[in-house]
Amino acid sequence: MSSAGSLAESQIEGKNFANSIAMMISLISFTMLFAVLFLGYAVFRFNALEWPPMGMERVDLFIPSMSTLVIMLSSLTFWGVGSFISSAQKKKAELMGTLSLLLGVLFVGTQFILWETLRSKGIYQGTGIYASLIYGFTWTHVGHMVLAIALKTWLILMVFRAKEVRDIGQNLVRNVSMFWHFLGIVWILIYVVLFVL
Amino acid sequence: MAFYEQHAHPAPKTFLSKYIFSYDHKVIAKQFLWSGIFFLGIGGIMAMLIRWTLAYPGQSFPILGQLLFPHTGGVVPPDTYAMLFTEHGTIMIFYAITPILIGGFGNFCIPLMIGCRDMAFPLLNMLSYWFFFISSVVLLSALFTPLGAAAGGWTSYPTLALTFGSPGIGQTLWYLAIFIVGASSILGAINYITTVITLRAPGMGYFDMPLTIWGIWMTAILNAIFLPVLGAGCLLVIFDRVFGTTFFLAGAAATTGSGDPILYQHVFWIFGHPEVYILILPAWGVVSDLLSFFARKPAFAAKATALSMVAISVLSILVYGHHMFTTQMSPLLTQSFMTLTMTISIPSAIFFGNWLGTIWKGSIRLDSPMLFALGVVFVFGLGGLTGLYLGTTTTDFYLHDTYFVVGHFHYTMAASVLLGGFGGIYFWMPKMFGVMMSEFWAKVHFWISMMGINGVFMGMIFVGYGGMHRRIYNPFFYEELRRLIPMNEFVTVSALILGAAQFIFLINFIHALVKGKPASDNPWKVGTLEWTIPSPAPHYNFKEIPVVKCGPHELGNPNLKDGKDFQYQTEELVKV
Repeated sequence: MSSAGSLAESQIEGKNFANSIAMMISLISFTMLFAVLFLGYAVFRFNALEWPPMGMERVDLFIPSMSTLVIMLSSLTFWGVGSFISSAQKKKAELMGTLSLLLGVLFVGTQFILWETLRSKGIYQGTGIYASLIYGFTWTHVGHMVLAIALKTWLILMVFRAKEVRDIGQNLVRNVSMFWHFLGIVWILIYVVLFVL
Repeated sequence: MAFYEQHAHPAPKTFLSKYIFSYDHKVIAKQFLWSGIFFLGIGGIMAMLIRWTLAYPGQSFPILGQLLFPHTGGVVPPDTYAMLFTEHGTIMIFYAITPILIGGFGNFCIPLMIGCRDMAFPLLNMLSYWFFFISSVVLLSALFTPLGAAAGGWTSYPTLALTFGSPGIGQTLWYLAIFIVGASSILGAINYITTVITLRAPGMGYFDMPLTIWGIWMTAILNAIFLPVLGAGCLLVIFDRVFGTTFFLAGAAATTGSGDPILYQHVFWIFGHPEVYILILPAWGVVSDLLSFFARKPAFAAKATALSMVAISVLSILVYGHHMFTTQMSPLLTQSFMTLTMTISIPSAIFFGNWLGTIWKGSIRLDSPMLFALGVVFVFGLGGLTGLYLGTTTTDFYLHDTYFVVGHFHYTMAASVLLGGFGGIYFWMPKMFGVMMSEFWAKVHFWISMMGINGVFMGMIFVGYGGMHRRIYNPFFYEELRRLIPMNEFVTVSALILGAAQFIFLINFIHALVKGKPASDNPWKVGTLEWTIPSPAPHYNFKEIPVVKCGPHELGNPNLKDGKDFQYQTEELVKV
């Protein structure tokens, strides 16, 4: 048996492989959860005589579009973090990481603005199925975003603390990125399905 | 990559790190096992209260009745009856069978049987148990809320389970508890799947794994895919109940646009049917191994058995609609679901045939694990056959929501899984705790349990066929059902016998722990990897990681020497 400090390369490789499998399974689980929400949306959408139902107005696209832009920028900058870590550019990795994290927090902020705007127009979660879907989707997504922001914060702190950013496992960066990008993709689907179509 | 050397945690020294917040898969397995046995007791007492009410409506439940329901003179009140059958089903499925079969055996068997030191993620493993613990506290706390626990059935369909049907916080806590226990199972599933893929001992291919591991592995895959579906359903109902959304609100209650309660049923059964296999596959795996070990011959067509598990897992995804034939489903859909349901009989029949092939002409040793394994073959046969009537639309329309359904799913999910679970406990007791349980009392436990099980569940099938609906407080209010009172009394007496038999197990189990005969390293003379190490299994399991050279069922080879009739998986295969 080996101690933590002297893990052989093959052990690290094995652990990374295990971590990647675990992340893939987690993403499959998260996909299934969101798939149920989209299934619900499809049932309501295809059974409705008109959409949005009951003469409700469509939600203004401005805030959801801003959210989409923010989360895409966040994903882009996070991709940059991975690149800078692999090329051992600590300062740039720190800068990009902080920026990506702030964009993630900003995305959550835009969701609060969305909910406040809806309420100011008299659209509450109980105002019919259309409103329920918007609130239900966005609450669930934000819940996951909070988890992802916690993971990302932990990773960025590691970048700040590391003497050499190369010491941070590429695999760890890749796994956190996968979760982040996954939530980005889910948001884009929500945006298209719920707000655009 | 099939194997890597794990980072080793030092042996724990404090009570907390050794027994409470342990990373060791064996300790976590025991935590799940103890919790499962505790909840088996709670769920069992609830079953007795339900059965008493059905056989002797309006009569005080002996001893416990006065204590639990003093305001009704010991009689179970109607609202409590609804809570009892809801909590009984929930507890038995999610808090008894799941922790014993999946949490207990999964944690204990996977590393020991595939030859590694621990799970791939020991911290995640510990978290899985503590999520389960928190969930069970949430579930039980509902019993002490002002309007009591959930009472919408174990399926908790809206609109009955929404606020105007179940106004108390107990129902909300039920959904929350299920959501958390789902998270616990997903954490476990991530660990199980990853461990099997990455930590099999050198030389161990997938088909060299014992069938127990195949069963648990398939279960973990189904858990990872389908528990989030139930989680999403629970989350949406929580949104409806707590925040006022209208996903499942319909009819007069939906004043601001209609949701769809049937949607919940789809979501529930997309999860619910695979859940049947989630519960049963570990037991099938255990039984497949036990039959081979105690028939002293290789498992018949073991690869086909493993592949049948895969086929059953895949098909289980496609058949959920047979639970919803009576929801005005399109006839085209009912026929499709019926056909798909029937196709699941093919791998099941292969499975069953392989079991019979395994014991055919074997040198059968009727030790207690084998008795329980044979018991599973019998009850699963009955459970499977009665399922055909419910998968067929023409008969399902008449039998839907009757006690026939209750009898059927108890045969498959309760009887098979419980007997398989007991078989597993008797079998791995030496490796788990280093002691043997009394064989005599184990056999007494088996025979009385078999009588009780068949009395209860066969009786339920008869009363269901006679037209008795489930979930009615006093069915004998209806004149046409009064003729079924004697049969119900028979079922209840059988249930009491079944319940009493479990005390034999409990006393035997505790006696073994306190004063049990120390077990040898390999008391059953089988060759899987866990039997190559001392009993009980030491910290970090294997002194040296084993190298696997043959399959798990190398028994009865006449060319073996020194009077041995089995080979360890670490030995070179002796040609037949």
